[in-house]
Amino acid sequence: MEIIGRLLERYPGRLQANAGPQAKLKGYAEMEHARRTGEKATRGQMGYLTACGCVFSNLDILHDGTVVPCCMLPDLRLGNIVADSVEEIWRTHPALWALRERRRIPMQQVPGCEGCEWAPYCNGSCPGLAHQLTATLNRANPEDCYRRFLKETERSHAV
Amino acid sequence: MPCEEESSRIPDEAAEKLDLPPAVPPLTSLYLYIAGSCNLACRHCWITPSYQPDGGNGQFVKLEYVDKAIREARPLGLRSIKLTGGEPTLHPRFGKS
Repeated sequence: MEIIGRLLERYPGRLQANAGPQAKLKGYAEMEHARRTGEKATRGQMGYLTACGCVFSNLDILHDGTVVPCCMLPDLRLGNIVADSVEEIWRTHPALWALRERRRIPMQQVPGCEGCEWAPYCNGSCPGLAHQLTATLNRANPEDCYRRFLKETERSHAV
Repeated sequence: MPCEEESSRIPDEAAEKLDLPPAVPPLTSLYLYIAGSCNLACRHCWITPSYQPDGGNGQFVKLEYVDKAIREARPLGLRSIKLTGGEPTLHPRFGKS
C-alpha cells in the first residue's frame, strides 16, 4: 500500500482500481474528505454497513453449478442451477435478504466499531472478508479498517 | 474484488418495466465461473482456483444449465454476464455454437 500511495502521488489520475490497496486508499481519502468537509460520499452510504452493492445486482455461479452471492462468500451456498431456479433464489433466499438488510445497521452498532471516530464515515468494507475473518456477516472487514491503518502505519491521514 | 457498485444498477426507468416487487432489486449481472481449473499463472490474479500445473480438476459447468440460469434471470433484469473461472477458455464448448 505504501508503494501504491507513492505511485498515486507520482502519477495523479493515471491509476485506477476497484479493489485492492489503491481502492482502499481511495476509500480512506473519501473518509478523510467527508470528515473534514461534512460532504459524505453517496457511494456506499457512509455511516452504515452498506458495503458492498453486489447483492443488489449480481449473483455468481460456480463451475459445479453452485449459486453464491459472490466469490468472496463461497460458503454461502444459495442453491445449484441444476435443481434450483435463479429467479426464485434472487427473489426469496433468506441469506440474500440478510445481506441486503445489512445496510440498515449503523456502523456505531457494529461489534468492534462502537465509539470509533471514523464510524460515521465508514461502510464496513467487503462482507465476504468480514465473514471469512470473523465467521459472521454483520461485522466490518477487519482487513480494511481505517482506524487500524492509521495506527499500524503511524500516519495521520491516508494520502 | 469483482464488486459492482450499486450505482451500476439498472436505471429506475428500466427497472419499472420489470415485473418485480419494489423491494426486489434487478439482477443485472451473472458472473459465470464456468471452468474449475486454470492453466495460467497470472501474477495479479487472486481468484480460486489458481494455476494448476496438472491442468486442474477438469470440471466445467454444463452449457444447458447456463442456458437455464440465464433464462431464469432474464425476467429479473439481466443485462450482462461475465465469463470467468478458472480459465473460461478451457471450457470445451467455449467459442462453439
